[in-house]
Amino acid sequence: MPDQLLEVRDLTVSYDTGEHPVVAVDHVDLDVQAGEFVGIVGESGCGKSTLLFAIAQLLSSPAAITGGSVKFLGQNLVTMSEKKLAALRWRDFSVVMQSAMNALNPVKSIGAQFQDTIMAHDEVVDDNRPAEVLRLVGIDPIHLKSYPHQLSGGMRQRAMIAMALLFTPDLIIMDEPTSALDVVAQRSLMVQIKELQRKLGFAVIFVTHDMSLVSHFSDKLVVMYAGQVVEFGDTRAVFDHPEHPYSEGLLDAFPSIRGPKVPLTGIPGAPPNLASPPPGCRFQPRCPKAFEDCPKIEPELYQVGAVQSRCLLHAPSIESAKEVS
Amino acid sequence: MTSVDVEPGVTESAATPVIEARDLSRHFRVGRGFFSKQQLHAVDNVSFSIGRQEIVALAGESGSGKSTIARLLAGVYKPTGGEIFYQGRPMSSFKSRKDQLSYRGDVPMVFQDPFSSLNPAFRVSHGVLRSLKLHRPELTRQQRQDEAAQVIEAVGLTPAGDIMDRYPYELSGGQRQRIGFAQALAHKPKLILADEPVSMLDVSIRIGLLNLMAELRSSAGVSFLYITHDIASARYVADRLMIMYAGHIVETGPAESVLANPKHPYTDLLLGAVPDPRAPLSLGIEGDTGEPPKVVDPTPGCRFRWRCPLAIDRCHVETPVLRRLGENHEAACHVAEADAGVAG
Repeated sequence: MPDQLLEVRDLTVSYDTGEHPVVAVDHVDLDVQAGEFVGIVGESGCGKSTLLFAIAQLLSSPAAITGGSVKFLGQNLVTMSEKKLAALRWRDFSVVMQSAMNALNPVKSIGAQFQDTIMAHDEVVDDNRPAEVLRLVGIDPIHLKSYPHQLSGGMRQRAMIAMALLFTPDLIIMDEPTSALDVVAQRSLMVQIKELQRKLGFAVIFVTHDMSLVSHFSDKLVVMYAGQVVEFGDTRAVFDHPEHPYSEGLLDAFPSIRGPKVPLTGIPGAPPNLASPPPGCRFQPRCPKAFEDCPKIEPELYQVGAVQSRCLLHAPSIESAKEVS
Repeated sequence: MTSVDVEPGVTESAATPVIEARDLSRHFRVGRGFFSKQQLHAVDNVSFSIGRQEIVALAGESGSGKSTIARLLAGVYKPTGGEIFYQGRPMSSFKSRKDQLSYRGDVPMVFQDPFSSLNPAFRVSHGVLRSLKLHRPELTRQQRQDEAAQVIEAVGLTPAGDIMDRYPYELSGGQRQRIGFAQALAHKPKLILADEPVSMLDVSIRIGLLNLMAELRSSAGVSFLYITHDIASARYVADRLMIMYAGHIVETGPAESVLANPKHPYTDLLLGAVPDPRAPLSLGIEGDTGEPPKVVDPTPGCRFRWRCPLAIDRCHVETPVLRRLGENHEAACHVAEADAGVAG
């Protein structure tokens, strides 16, 4: 197996809304190695779910990929035919959606839904496989006969993950799988995903708005804002030294259970309307560290130590200018 | 007897809590068939009180009975046992429409999901104006408009005139939830029941709403029952913390004291579940995949014993009750009791 599992280059997705197309994903690069856990974080509307859908080729009109490529195991998914994609889905990569409540069919038993997935592929699958994957995620196989409403929220979400594991894919894409769960169920699901990943060796792309959730689980972290990647690096590096004011804001957005109680402000304001993004840096209207150049110059991703940050504070020329002043 | 909306004497009000629950229970009949005798104990013998301008957090997992308590206090459910006292008066004595209306105006509820709790067909001012019309009929149309603009500004939505004329789909989740608070605030409440008001929102805007609650407490003089499964946010806003498990309150006390020195193993479990990026990297695979049990026709014994790492024989035969283990700090656990040297 090649080490490079997924290679996303310059991926751009637009929503065609007539006069002003909304660019929801703006020239995003992303690499995922085999067995890696990549977290993508950002607020609602930052384009993180659109990015996932674009990677999995699940976009529907008016959204469309307008540029770039998604190479999965060396093949470009963007130009691939629907038929070939159908063969890849579930077998080589699978997607776990945000709300298992809506992702599972309410009038079919869990087992019947597993069978549907198996029948859609030519692979020969052991009859015991459905029971086996349910056991993997810690659900009694007796629930193959159960309907979604008979399971709790956490179990439904685990059943979805079991389904994603049917063919032991190389990559599982997860879109906020824990957002409907309480903290305890959330924690136990995260631990379980990580354990399964260790055991089976698949790679994970995990999207969430809660940065602290992935802090202990992901290897790489991508912070998105207004359709762009604003910070990228090893998870621990980003957490220890966030180099973009937005990542800093996300990290400080929520109280800790330890240490002194400090008043917090979160990140005031809302993400910009992507039909008319602000000039220069897109975070500048909300940024506590903005200076006069921010509305004028559009920042690129600059290398800062171990991480990349899209912030003018780290632009090479500005850096030297600051030292002079 | 004074009407509910009339302030009782000052000396009395300082001592009487806004709301007090004594031995509150709510059981639901479950099981197959009309003659089923099975009872689901959603809330069992719960007692607590909320003082003036106090923020009390009620924390626990999904299915622990938190929302049932909120609904009991809001009068959506009738208790099957025990009694709720509002400013010293038993709630079961509120028979007249006037009493019930004024109670509901005094104790409104803010719901979890801002996306489905506002009517999409009406402007956002609709809910605020409607409740003003119902609860404060003495106001003229213009006064209602002014009052609505004022509360919408009070919850941090400016300019109020512009916001009032929008439809829910034009607002973000955080703004919609603020409208939820504005609706509750319109009739000058005494206690707001906030049922997971931030759990559907992005982490980055949750803090704004928590700050809003703290602000309203001092500016509008309301008390809050803040229901949450996230104990970190409870610590941030609440004075007092009540931890609930399977229909029982298992630990209660000042927020700082409960979190710094948790007595009940369930509180430990909740604390361990909070993701904390500042904590050192430790993949604590405790393997706890349990869920709160559905308490149908319970037998005596601690309800947490199946998930409890400390369970002893006594936990299987005797239900622990809340005992004082520190300054205003109570827990219902046999092991914690023995540790603290309290005679059982």
